[in-house]
Amino acid sequence: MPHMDIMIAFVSFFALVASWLVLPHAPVRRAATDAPVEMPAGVVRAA
Amino acid sequence: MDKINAGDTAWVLASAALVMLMTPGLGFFYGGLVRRKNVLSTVMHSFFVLCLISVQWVLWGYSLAFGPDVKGWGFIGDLSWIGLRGVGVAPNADYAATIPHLAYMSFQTMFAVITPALITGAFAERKRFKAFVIFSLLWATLVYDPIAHWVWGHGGWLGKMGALDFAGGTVVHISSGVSALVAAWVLGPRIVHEDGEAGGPHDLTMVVLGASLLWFGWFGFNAGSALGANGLAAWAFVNTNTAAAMAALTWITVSWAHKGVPSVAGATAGAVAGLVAITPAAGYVTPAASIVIGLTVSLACYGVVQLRDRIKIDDALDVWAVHGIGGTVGAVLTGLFATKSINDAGNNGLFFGNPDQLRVQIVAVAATWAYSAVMTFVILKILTFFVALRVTEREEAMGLDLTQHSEAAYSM
Repeated sequence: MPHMDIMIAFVSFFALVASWLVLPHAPVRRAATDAPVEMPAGVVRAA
Repeated sequence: MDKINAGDTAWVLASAALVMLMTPGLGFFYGGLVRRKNVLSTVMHSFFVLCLISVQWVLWGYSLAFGPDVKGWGFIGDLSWIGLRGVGVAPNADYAATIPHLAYMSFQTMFAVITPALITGAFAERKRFKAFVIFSLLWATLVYDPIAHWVWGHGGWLGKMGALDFAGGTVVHISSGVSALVAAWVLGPRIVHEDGEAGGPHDLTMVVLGASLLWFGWFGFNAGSALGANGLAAWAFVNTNTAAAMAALTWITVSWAHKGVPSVAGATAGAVAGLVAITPAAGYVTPAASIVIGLTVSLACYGVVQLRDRIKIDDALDVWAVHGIGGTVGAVLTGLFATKSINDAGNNGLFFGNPDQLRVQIVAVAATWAYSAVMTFVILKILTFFVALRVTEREEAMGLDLTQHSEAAYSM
């Protein structure tokens, strides 16, 4: 089949892109200790 | 088949590598300018775009930008080169007659990569990673690829009109700078803490390192755009260095007069503004003109940066002020200072007896501003139906490094 390599390349790339849309996000953890991270103290306001 | 020139090929491939280094360099430049809780996410924006667009370009981007023109409209290339089908070692005389077509494509890859990376400075510290990824892919396809075709593609309408853009003043800098302003407006401003957290640049040494890498890579960007190891590359090289230096000196001086100190951050911003402005002009103007361009762009960009707070749009790292305005200044001044004594394939500008070149330059600038702004707005609005553009207020307060990547830049 002509251009089979290009077809497979397209499918592979779009499979990655699609996965980015649906992959869940892991709970936020601090990398060094792997401990859960809390919201910092202090008031925030919109700029 | 055209004969491949070893020197030209070596220079263009080396230039492609130089331009590649600019994107991680941009990551360092932007990374130093943000707060320490967002440095990794900011660096990641540039690094991810390098990966994403490198593949997009091979699969369909290069074909849309440089492939055979669709119906002769000059708007977009067709899909006959998807997957680099038909793009091989044989030179393509429409673009570069003395180097492999693949070498030209590789050089152009790095331009396509850095352009969406430039926009990331506008929405730093608040954009959701998932939204950034999809936006970058759509923006490269729907904004960069068409504009690159207009100006540089064979049969592109601005190229046919005679617009001069040696290395990307319109294609790279105006498109990204204007899009950055629209993106910052649509996303809204960052949250500011009232708990004493330091704002602004968290590491100026990183900013200077990033700016230096950008300056170094820009020799490939501009001198490489001569597409040969020749005298034109030497002109572009000299002009690039001279404009950057003059712009940095000017910014330092103006900020010193305005705020009482010669700012380090200002020196880097000035150098980048000079590099942006000389980009469209590098292969068309004299070194003396590059000094004037460096001076002018620094004054213009410094003034616009001061106006930023008044327009209430949080373009976090001044992408619009430096790239949008800098690119516009460079493109317009090319219409004044261009001379065929430097590049016979170019044209004379207003100061060399051809006032019409200024009109053409203004048309190119206006078209790029309008198309970039409208398309960026449309892309972002459509994206909002599928994914949240911003992180939550809680995530923003904690920082994007932890909330988007579960990593921290510094352990001390």
